[in-house]
Amino acid sequence: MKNNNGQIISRLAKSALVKNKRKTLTMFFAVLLSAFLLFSVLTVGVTYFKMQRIQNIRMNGAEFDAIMYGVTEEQQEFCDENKDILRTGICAVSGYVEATDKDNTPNVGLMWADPTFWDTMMEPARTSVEGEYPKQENEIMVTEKALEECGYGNLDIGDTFRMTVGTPKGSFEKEFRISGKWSGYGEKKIFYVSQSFYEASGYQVSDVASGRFYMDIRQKLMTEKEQNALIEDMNLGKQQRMFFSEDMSFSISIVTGMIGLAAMICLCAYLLIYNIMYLSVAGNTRYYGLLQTIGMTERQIYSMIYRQMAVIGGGGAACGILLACAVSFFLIPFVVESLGIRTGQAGQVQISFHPLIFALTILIVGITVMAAGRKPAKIAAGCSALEAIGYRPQKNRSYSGKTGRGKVLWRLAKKQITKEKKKTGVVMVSLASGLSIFLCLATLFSSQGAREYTSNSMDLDLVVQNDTIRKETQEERKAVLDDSALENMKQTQGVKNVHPVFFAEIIVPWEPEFSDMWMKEFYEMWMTIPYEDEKKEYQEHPENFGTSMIGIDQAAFENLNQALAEPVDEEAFMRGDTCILYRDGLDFTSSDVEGKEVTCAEYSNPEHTKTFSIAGLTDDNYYTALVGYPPTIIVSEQALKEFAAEPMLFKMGIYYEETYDQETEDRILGELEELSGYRDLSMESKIDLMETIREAQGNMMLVGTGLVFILALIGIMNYINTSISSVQNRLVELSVMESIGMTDRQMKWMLLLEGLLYAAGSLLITMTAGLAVTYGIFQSMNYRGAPFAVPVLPLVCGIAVVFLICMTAPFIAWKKMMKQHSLIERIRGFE
Amino acid sequence: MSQWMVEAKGLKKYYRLGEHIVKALDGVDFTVKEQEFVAIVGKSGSGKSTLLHMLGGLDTPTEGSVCIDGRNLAGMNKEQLTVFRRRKVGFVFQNYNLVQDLNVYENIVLPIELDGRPVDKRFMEEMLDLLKLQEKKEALPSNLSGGQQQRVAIARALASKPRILLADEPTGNLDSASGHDVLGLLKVAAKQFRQTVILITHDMDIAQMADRIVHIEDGKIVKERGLHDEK
Repeated sequence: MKNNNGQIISRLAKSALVKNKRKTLTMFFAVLLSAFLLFSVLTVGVTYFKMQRIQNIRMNGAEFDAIMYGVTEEQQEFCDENKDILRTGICAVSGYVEATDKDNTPNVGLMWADPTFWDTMMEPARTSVEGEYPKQENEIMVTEKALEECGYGNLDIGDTFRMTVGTPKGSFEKEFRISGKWSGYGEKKIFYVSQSFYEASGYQVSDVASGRFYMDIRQKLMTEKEQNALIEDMNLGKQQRMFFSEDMSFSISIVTGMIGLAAMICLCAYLLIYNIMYLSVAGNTRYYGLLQTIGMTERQIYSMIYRQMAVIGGGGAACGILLACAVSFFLIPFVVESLGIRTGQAGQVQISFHPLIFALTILIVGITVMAAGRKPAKIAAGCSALEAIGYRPQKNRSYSGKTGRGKVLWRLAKKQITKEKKKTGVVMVSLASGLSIFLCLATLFSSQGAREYTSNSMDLDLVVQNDTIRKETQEERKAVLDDSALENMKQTQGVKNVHPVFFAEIIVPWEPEFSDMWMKEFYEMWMTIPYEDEKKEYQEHPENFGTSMIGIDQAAFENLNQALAEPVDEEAFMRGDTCILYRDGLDFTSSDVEGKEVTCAEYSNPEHTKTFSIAGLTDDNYYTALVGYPPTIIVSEQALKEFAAEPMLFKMGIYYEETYDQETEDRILGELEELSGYRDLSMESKIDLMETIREAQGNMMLVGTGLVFILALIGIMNYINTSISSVQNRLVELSVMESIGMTDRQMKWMLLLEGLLYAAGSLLITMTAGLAVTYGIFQSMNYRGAPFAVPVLPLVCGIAVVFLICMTAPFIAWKKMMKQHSLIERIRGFE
Repeated sequence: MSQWMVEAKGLKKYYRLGEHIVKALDGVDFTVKEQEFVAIVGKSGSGKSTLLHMLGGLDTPTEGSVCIDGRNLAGMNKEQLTVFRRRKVGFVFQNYNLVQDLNVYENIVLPIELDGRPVDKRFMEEMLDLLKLQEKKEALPSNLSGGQQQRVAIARALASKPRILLADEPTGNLDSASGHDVLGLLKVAAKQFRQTVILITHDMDIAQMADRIVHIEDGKIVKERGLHDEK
C-alpha cells in the first residue's frame, strides 16, 4: 500500500535546509555561480565566436569563407550549381594609381567588384555609402583615405580629378569623376571602378593576379578534410590558390577548445557542489542516523536529500540564469555597440541569445547537482542507527596505524590529509580545477591583448619606409632617407637601436642552372603567358627584368635566420659569401635552391657582377622592396655596400628605449617631417597598431576580465567553503584536542599546516595536469599562433590567494565556532 | 599553601534558556584533598557534569572561584588555562573522545607531545601494562571495544602525570562488568601514580568505590558522605 509520507519528508527536508542556513546558502550560491558561469561562458563564447567572425569580416573587408585567386568559367558554374555554396562574388584587380598631380607615390589600387560582392558580401564591413557604384568607365567609388593618399582629401561626390593609372595595357592619364564614397573596414586605399573600366583594362577574372573569387559556404564548421575536399573539387590550375578564412580554418579547433573549457567549468561546478554536499552530509551523520532510528527508511532519506537538492539546484540555477540573462542582455549589447557594429547581417547575430544555451545550462547544472548529491545521499542513507546514539562514525577502516615520527603538529596535519585520500583528492582536484580554469582564461585573454599583436617579425616599435623605392624606374626613386637621417635617428632621445635596410636595383642574368629554373617556376605560378614566350627576351635583355638586392644588418639577419626552417651559417652570410632569397610564393623548398649559385649584376653597371651561394629561402616580406620576376636577394649590409655603387636606404626599423613610448615616437615623427621628401615616407607604428586593435576589440577584454573575475570568485568561494566545512566536521575532534591541552597557537599552526598541504597539493595538480589542459585548450583556440605564456600577475595573485585562504580560512572558521559554543558544547557536538 | 588540592567557593553557573534562567550550579562550596578519590552523584541535569567542567577549567563559572593545587583558574587567560589543563588535569569522558586518526599509543602521548616534553617511555610501558593495552598499542580506536577505548582514555589522562584526574561518567557507555573493570584500573592507577580523582556517576555501586561521595541536586550539594562519616 502506498505510504503517503511526502508531506513529512518535505517538512524534514525544509527544516534541514533552514537549520543549516550557512551550508544551504553556500550550496545555493555555488549552484547559482555555476549556472551563471556556464551560461555566461557559453553565451560569451558564442558571441566571441561571432565577434571574431565580424572582426575577420572587417579585416578582410567582406564576409566570406573562402577566397580563390583567379577563377575560370567552369569553376564559376560549378559553384553556382553547388548547393553547399550559398553565394559567390568577384572582386578583381583593375590596375593601380601611378601618380596624381598632387602625389607621386599614392599607393592606391583600382578594383572592380561585381554586384554580389559589393551589395552583399562587402556590406557588413561598411559603415556608410554615399552615391552610387560606378557605371561609367571614368567613374570611381572612393574612400577618404584613398583620396588623401592621392593628395585630394578635400574632394567630394561629383568632383573630378586627373590621375595616371597603370594597367596591363600600359599607363595612361585620365580624368575621373567621383560617383560615390564609402567608409568602413578593410583595405581602404582602393578606388572601385566600373565593369566597363575593368573590361577595358586588359585583366581577366581568370588571371590569378586579378580575379579574386569569394565564396560563402553553407557549412560554417568544416574539418580540414572537408576543406581539402572542396579545394579538390574546384580543380585548381597550377597558378590558382584557394584559402579559407581564419575563422573557418580554425572553426573546429576553436569549438573543441570551447567544449574543453565548458567541460572544465562543469567539472569545477560539479566538484564544488559535490564537496559542499558531501561535507554537509558527512557532518550530519548523527542526524541521518537518528532519523533512521525513529523509522525513516533509506528510500525516504534519499527522497529527502533529493528534494533538498531540487530546491537548491532549481533555485540556484534559476537565479544564476536570470543573472546571466541580465548580464548578457545588458553587457553584451553594450559591448556590441561599443564595437560599433550596426544593424544588418553582421549586427543581428551579435545579441545572440540561443535557447540551446539556456537548455544546455539547465541540463548540465541539473545533472551536476543530482550527480553531486548521489554519493552524499548514499552516505546519509547508510548511516547506522548506532551512530545516532552517541558512537562516533568509524572513519578509518584500517585496523592499526603506524606510530608517526616528527613534530606532532606536522604529523597531525599530515594525518588529516592522508587519512581519507579520496576525499582529500576530490578537494584538491576541486581547488585545482578552479585555479586551472582561472589561469586558462587569464592566459587566453592576455594573449588577445592589443599589445600582443605585432606587424613585423622583429617586433619593431616603428618602421619608416621610403615609398619611392617601390617605383619601377630609377629616376622616380629618391633618396628621401640617407645616412644623415639614419644618424639623426640614432641620436634621437628615447631611441635604442635603428636597423637600416638598404636597397639596390640589380639584374639577375640568365644562366641555365638557377635563374632559368626560377623564372620558369615564376611564370608558371604568377604569369598568364608561358615562360618560353619571354625566355629569349630575358636571355638577351635581362635589364628589362630588374629586381632588388636587400642589405640587412646583423640583428635583422639573426631575426631572419631564427625563423628559417634550417638556419644558415652566420659568418658566411655576413662575409658576403651567401645570400637568402625571398620565396615569393613559389613552389620551391630550401633544398631546391640551397647550394646553387646566383649571379647579380649592378643595374646601372651590368658589367659589374657578383655571385652568391644561396643559403636559404624566406617568406618574410619585410625584406622586400621592388619585387621583380627574378628573386629578391637578401645579403649582408656590408656585402650590398661593397657591391652596389649607390645603395639606397629603404627602411629604418626602430626600437625605443621603452616600447610604446609615445613621446619618443612624437619626437621621431617631428624630425621626419623636417625631411624634404616627407610625403614619400610611410610609417608603421606599433602604438598605432595597438590603438587600432584596441578599438576593434572594444570591451571584449572587459568581458573577458569579468569572466576571469567570476571564475576567481567561484574558486575562492570553493576554497573558503571547503576549509570551513572541513573544520566544522572536525569540530568535536578539534575540541577534544583543545580539552586535552592543545593551545590556540598550536591549533592555529596545525590548521595552517593542513592548509599549506592542501594549497601545495592543489597547486601541484594545477601546475601539472591543470597546465597541460590549459595548454591544450589554449593551443586549440590559438588561431593567431600566439606564444603560450601564463600571465605572471594573475598567476602570482592566484597562488597567493590560494595559499592565503587555505592557510587562514580554517583557523578563522575555528575561532568563530569557538566563540559561538563553549568547549563542552563543542565536545558534545551541540547536543 | 592551601591544604586542598581542589577548592571551589560560591560556584555559580547560570544559563539563559529563552526567557528562563537555568541555575546549573547555584553556590557550590567544594573541597578535595590530595590523593582523595571523590565520587559526585546526582540525577540527570543536577549539575554534576557542570561542576566537573568548572573544576577542570573546561567551562567558566558565572560567579565564584576554583583553585586547583593552589592556583586560581579565574586569573588565567585561555592559553594559560589550556597549558595548565594539560599539565595538571587529566580528563576521562563518557564518550572516550579519542582522536580517531591516531593509534592507541599516539592518543596516549598526545598531551605530552603537545606540551613539548619527551615521552617517559618507562612510565608509559608501566601504564600500558597496568591498563592491559600493551597488545593494542598500534590499534586504531575504532577497532577497540568500549572498555578498551575507555582504558586508552584513562591512560591518556594519566600520561602527563597530572595532579588531578576528572572522570565524567567513564562507565556510562560500558556494560556492568567492563565498567567495574575500568574503574578498578582507574583506582589502582591513581593510587600508584598518587593522583586525586573526582568521578561523576549515577551508579551507586561505582560510587561506593570512592573515598567520599558527594550528592548534588538542582545545582547544590545536598549531602556528603565519607567512608567513615556522614554529613
